[in-house]
Amino acid sequence: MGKLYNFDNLNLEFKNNEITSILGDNNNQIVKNLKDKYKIITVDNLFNNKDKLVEVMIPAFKKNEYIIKSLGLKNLFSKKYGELGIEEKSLVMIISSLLVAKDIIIFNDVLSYLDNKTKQKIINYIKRHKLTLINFTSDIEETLLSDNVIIIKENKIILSGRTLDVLKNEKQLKLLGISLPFVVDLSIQLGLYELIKKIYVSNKKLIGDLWK
Amino acid sequence: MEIEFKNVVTSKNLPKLNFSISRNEITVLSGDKTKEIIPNLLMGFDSVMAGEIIYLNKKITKETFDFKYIQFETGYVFLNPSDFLTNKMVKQEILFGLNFYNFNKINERMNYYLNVVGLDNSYLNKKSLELNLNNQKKVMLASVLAIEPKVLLLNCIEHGLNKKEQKDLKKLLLKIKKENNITIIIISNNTNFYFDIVDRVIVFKENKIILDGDSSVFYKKETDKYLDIPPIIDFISMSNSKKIKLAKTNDINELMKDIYRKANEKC
Repeated sequence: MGKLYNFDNLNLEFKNNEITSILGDNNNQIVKNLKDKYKIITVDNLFNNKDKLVEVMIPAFKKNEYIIKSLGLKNLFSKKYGELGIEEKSLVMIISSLLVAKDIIIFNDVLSYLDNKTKQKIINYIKRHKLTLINFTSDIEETLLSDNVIIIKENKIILSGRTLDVLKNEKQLKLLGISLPFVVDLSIQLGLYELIKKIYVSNKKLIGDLWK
Repeated sequence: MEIEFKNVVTSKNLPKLNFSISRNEITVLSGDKTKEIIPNLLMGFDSVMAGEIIYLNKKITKETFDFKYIQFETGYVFLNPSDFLTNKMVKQEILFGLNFYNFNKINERMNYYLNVVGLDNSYLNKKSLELNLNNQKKVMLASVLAIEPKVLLLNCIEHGLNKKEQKDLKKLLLKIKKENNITIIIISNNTNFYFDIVDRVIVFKENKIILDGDSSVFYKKETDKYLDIPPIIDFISMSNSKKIKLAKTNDINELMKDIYRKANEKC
């Protein structure tokens, strides 16, 4: 089951309790429309000055042992606010939103500031708490963290579906100027040489099967 | 050395910063907040509390900072285009520095550098902040390249760009490095962006260097404690830990051929 959102002749459906990545040519405008019309909690790009908010949120987190433990943030909170780098500020913004979000949340190109391990922790947290995440991104590798992918061009949905079903459309994606995640690209090419028979989403599993 | 930090104090609680950057290399500054403090010190947004920075031929200390010289010799591309661009026409954005530093043949220079970054002259009369992010970044680059700096300082320039746009940007940076004899400093933690163009990567933690090496550093086992390993290198390293002996490459097509050969040898 999902909920339908529509504006500007664009109908978007996001499946409940799942993660949907959106790659588009005008993500900022779509995020703005979703935020304005549906009041969805949004972690936007960090270009806007949110330093004040970050400063206010840190003391609140410090009291939340559960958040600190589940996301492994002890090191972060031993620092003063001014000592935080952009990745850490991004993380604080993300956690702030997770704390207040009831069901659905939007990230607008903020996961890409985080390292892979921290990204995975955030995704695990979202899944464990059955939140619905709409992840607007420019990083194709992030689609591997999501259940669904939507590709939007000139305000039209070009492709939409389960992540691998969308990424299988290699030729169409290339025409749109979208490359594949490394492991998906490699899987497809190895499949052409009949070295493997399916598309993988992790190097570890691909290597395990390829070099048996 | 192009740039040298000597016992630079940035905070009372942190160790002194000591490192140097070589001329005509692409150096990535990675890690924690330290990587963001360095450009702030170089551009004069933060002050050196003690110690000194040798920047090209000038000294930066608590007492001395030659704004005009340093800003003239440094092309600093901000993280946020709206901190840099003034939402005037692209033409005005690029001409600003050229006029400020009294360059001659400014129209020729403007057209040349606009073309270098991959934009045609039709962009000159467009408003800079109405362009998409990729083109805003190109306009920032054209604006700073036009004054022919000795150092290009790029703050998370890849952020918000897709893989293809990043690939085009990397080609451009390699071309600029080769043709303009320029020192390029990239501030970024995005290893998947910079791993195949970098000459040196320095990872900082609380002013200390915790990792320093050339592009081969991504193949070292302990590196994943400090940096994300790019997927292609992760694949090669994991395969080689199973004694497959894949050759090191940054090119997926080369990797494919090698896998095919090794798979056939196994059969």
